[in-house]
Amino acid sequence: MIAPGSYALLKQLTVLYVEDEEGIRGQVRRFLADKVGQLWCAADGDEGLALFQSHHPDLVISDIMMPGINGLQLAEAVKRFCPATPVIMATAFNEFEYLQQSIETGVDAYLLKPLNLEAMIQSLCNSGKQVLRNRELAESRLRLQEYHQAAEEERHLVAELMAAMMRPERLADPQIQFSLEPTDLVSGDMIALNRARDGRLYLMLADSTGHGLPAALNLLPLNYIFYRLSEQGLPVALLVEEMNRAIHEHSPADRFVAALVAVIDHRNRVVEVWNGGIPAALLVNENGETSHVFNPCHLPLGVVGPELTADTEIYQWREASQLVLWSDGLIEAKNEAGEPLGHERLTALLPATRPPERFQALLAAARHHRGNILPFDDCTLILTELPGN
Amino acid sequence: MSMTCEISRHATTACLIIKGNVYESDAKILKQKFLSLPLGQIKEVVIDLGEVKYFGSSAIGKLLLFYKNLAAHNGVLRVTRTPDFMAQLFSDLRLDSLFEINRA
Repeated sequence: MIAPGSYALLKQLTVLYVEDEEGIRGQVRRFLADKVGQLWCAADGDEGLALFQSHHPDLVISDIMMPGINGLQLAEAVKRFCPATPVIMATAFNEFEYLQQSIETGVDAYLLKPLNLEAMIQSLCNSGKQVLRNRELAESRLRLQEYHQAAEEERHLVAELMAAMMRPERLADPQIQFSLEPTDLVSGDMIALNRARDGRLYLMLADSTGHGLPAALNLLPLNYIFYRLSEQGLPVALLVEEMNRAIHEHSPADRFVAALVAVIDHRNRVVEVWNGGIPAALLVNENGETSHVFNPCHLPLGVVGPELTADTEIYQWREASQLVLWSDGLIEAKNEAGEPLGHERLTALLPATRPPERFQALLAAARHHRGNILPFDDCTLILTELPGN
Repeated sequence: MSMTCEISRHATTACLIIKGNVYESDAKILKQKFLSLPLGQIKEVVIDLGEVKYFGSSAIGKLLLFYKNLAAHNGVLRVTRTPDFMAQLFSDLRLDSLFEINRA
């Protein structure tokens, strides 16, 4: 009794039938021709192998005893070429000694000769279900690969866009050393530097919610606003309010950007800072003593609306100093024991290092702490020289 | 240690006990937990962070979103038993200006 739906299944299959006895071959050909999607018949193993290699049928049914290569050798060749292709062997009782060898070859099913055509249909259906499952799996895998490839291309495109928008030519300032180590292809941390026409140096460290592409997208409007307004030498408060408005209006409500925006006036030795959610930035003298701390005094960008008033902190340095800042990813990065690096470990290094080596010492300490543990957030370190007289 | 979040309700107060690491993927689950609360019926939400080992910025984002939704319904948010490292982070982000944050 053939199950309902079996014929629809068979119509989706292509089958190779190999039998050297012309009478049986003709009988099976007539029986199967209109039931399967496509049928190829071969009179011996060699012809069967040639047909298999040129047409790649879904299923193979083969006699065992044939001139040239026998059914088992054909099955071996088929499995070597395409291990997932089911092979059904037609076996007479007196060929039963081949059974063990068939098992080792990986033959999927057996039909006893003389052939019972209903049993053959049943066997084809059983193996055919596996063929269809494999086909669906292969199609899903292909779709997944295509999706993955498209997503990767998009990520690379955004990474290139981000890299260009970071304006690497402006980041090459002799008074700034920085390291930005993203956890993904695109970073959720961003550094921006710009010299205003009057020579003042504008600096921004921004750290967007999360990391990777969604975080990076949130940073794009900030970058644009930063360069446009700093170019004109506009007040830090104005930059911050404009950036806050952009994030608040255009980003999802659960997305915010911690940011520190500073303008450094080397001529008057004055630094003005707005810190919204970036860990405390330190002003450090030549001995590594902290002379001033720019604590985060404000909510990050995008949390509140236009009511934000960007009060800044202004500080005049007297002796040669360095402004050191880092993102939370750097100090929260854990070592193998699960301990975060922490603010204290880094600040303890400051008096122990000379100013020219300080940046590399901090960076080396952060990397040494992490060891082989990958950080789960982007890690940024910036050191700015503030010369004395 | 993966995140767990247990919710209980007593009259108009809802308590959420969050435990473990709250990474980016956990933040999405946390958002669903927040969304499951009937804000119209709740006056106060207490979030217990005493057993939290890590609370990423995505999770803070969801917390802020929840705070905004709750505030829009005239509800009050209180975060309790906040471990020191998180309290410092919340303080850096000035979240203490939005809602009450109690240390562990």
